Amino acid sequence: MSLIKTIQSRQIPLALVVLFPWIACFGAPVLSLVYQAFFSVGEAHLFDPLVIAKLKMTVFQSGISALVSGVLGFGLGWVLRHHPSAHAWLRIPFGIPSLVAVAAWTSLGVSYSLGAVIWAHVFFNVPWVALSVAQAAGSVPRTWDETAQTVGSSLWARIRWVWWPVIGPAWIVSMAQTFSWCASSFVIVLILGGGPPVETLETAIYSSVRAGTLDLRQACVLGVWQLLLGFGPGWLARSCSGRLAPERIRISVSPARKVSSSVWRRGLAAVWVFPYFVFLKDLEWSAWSDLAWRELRVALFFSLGVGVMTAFFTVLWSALAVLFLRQVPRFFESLLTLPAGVSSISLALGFWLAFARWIDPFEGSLGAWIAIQSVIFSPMVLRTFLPIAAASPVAALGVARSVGASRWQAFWWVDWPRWRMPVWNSLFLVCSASLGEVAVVSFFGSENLTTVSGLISRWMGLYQFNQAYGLSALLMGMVLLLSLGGGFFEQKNRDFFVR
Amino acid sequence: MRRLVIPLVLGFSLGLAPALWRPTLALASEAELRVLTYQSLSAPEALRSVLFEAFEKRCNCKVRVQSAGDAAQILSKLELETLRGKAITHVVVGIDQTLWPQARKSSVDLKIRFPTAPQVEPEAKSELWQGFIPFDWGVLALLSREKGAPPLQWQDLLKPEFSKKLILQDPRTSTPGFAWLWGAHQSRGAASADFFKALRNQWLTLTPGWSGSYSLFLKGEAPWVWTYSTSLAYHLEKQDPNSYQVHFFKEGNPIQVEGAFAVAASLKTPEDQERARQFLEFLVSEKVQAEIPLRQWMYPARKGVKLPRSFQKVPLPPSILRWNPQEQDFRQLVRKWEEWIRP
Repeated sequence: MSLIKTIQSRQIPLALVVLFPWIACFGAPVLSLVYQAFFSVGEAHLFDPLVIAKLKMTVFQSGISALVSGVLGFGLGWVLRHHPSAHAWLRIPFGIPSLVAVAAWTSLGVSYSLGAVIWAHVFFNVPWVALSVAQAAGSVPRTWDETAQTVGSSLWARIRWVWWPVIGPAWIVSMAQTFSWCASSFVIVLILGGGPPVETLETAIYSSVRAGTLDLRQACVLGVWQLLLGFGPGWLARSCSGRLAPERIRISVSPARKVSSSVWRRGLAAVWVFPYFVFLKDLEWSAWSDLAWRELRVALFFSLGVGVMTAFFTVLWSALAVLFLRQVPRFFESLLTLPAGVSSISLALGFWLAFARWIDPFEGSLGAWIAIQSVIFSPMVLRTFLPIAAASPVAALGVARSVGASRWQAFWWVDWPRWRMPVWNSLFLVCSASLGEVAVVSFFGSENLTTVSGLISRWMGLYQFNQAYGLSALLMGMVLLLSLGGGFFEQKNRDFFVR
Repeated sequence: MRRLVIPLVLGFSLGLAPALWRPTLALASEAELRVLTYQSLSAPEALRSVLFEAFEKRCNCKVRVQSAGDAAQILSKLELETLRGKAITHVVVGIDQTLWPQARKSSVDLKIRFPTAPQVEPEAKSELWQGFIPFDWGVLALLSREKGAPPLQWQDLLKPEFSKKLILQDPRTSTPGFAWLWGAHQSRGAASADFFKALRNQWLTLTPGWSGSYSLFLKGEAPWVWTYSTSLAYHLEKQDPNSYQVHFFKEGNPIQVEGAFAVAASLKTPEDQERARQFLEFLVSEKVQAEIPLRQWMYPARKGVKLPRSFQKVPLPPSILRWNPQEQDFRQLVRKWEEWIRP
């Protein structure tokens, strides 16, 4: 009804601007993928033994990775729960592109096996789980535990009734996210796995279309399983996060005890970061050919261009979506954040199927890169913007309007200061995420049209590690710089609210 | 306000600039030949100048070369063009005899007599290849830098001393990798399933393409690599101080014959067909064939081409295995292999 009201209240252009890109870049691709999985020509079907073998491998490697990350992350998070200064180290791996992780682990000799894939995934995700657990545990008021102790509760009872209600959902959500992330991991499996039999749904989709002989039906069937695998943990995460009381886990106002971090605790957190810098010792710029430099220049040009465009469109769309969501039921919020659970390769495949008449993945497509990356990153930005929109200073805006300010002026002077930092932060973070993105870039890339991450992936595929390491170092530098930029705006934003 | 607008406009413009880049194929101009090939064949040190650029001068037309990774990707690209109803490729160069049965439906036979003519090397000749113009061939073998006992037969590869010492290619994405698969399958026959089940623990890695595996081998990741026997000629020619040996199997080694063909759907006019025919004839001409050994590091398909001294030092296998399309099917064999190596 509210949607109808929105349309009736002359909000049609806004609804169109928000829903049309979503339908074109997410709805239509997903529907095309599902349709082609059942109705296109080919032998593969959902329960084809080979498809099931790839599904099992995906579930197995993601399950083991999530489980090990969960156990280690829980322990690490518990140890670091009162040490926010050590948390900064745990945040660093979020900014490390998976390609850089591949470069690091190959230089350390961890490669060509399922063990290498799981190792890389665990190393990436332990800090994530640990941070979730530490933030949740750190937010439990000290008085709760002390009260429980005073009334004679056992350690088990305190864990069960004081800590677990806060830590448990956070832990389960982070494990579900880890599982989902590992299931849709592309480049780590592709390079570190060493080829078949270590093949997941994601790499198999890519081989079915781009690397081997064309088998569209199989790619779509694999894509459907990948969608199901992505939505399952996503649903679990969403239902659990509903049980997380936001006021309990807001670290900035945590009433928990804060103590200075000992060196060993900081070291424990830093251990998860150092391996990513090890490959820097193998850098050898002199070995680069003129052709490699030329390719790098072109790739850098495209990377920055696509990063900026993706950031611009993602933030613009998310801002409009927030305005739209204020006027429609909550169901639309779930709908617009659905792409968070979808793998990049499945979406790229669906996008291509939906727009095959105009796009040839072998020729490359800048438009496809920007569109798909924007869809993938939009839930992250949307979730950043929604709480800001929810806390709109209605009274102050009303006062501004009453003294003669136009709607735009009122927004600019009253509301925009709250938005400015999150907007800049999101622009930096999306740009940084786009720079490191490799699956979509590989799917819609060509020899002449590639980004820095696509070039690293290609060079790694050719096992030209010297050049790949050099480029990985450059990519890591750019991404960390952008993340620092994002972090700077986040800090400024906090300062603003504290003031 | 200005503080917001200027960065946004700048950002938008910076982002828009690459969108104006047009890397895709331009629409057909007056006289143009569009060739689809794999990446390494179109490289400057390979056949670019002696084939594509030389033909451009001869035909007074534009030769537009598009690369698609490796041979299997060429086929995928071609199939995609057909599916989209937008055939743009005139000639495909670099597909091998095992992919030919799949590519054949897209081809047109321009009645070039070379494939059956007496001047073709017997290894590169088959009565079954109407429309497929062979231009080079090679023997696939194991190359090593180790002086230890080599594997004398396929079964020997399962011995513990070869564990994690082999670098192979993925048969689904690489034609040498597929030659490994069908060669072993022909040799092992009914025992293939057990052979591959056991072999999956022996290789260090399966790379997507030949160049990847060869880079790993040169980097010293493993002492044995599945490659062309003529790789030895490359090292001899480059005066590589390392000593390499080529090893053949008692049961025989597979050969690969690379060829070219004209694409039916895009050759609409007699002029287009004539240009494609001239190009294919030029590809097998003595002039281009003489360049094959030191640029493609393969044997030329044309008989009588003088081979460099390095090639004369490359041993030939005691027997060769030939791909038989009437008994073997690419997709079925790959599928079986996937089932065999399934964990």
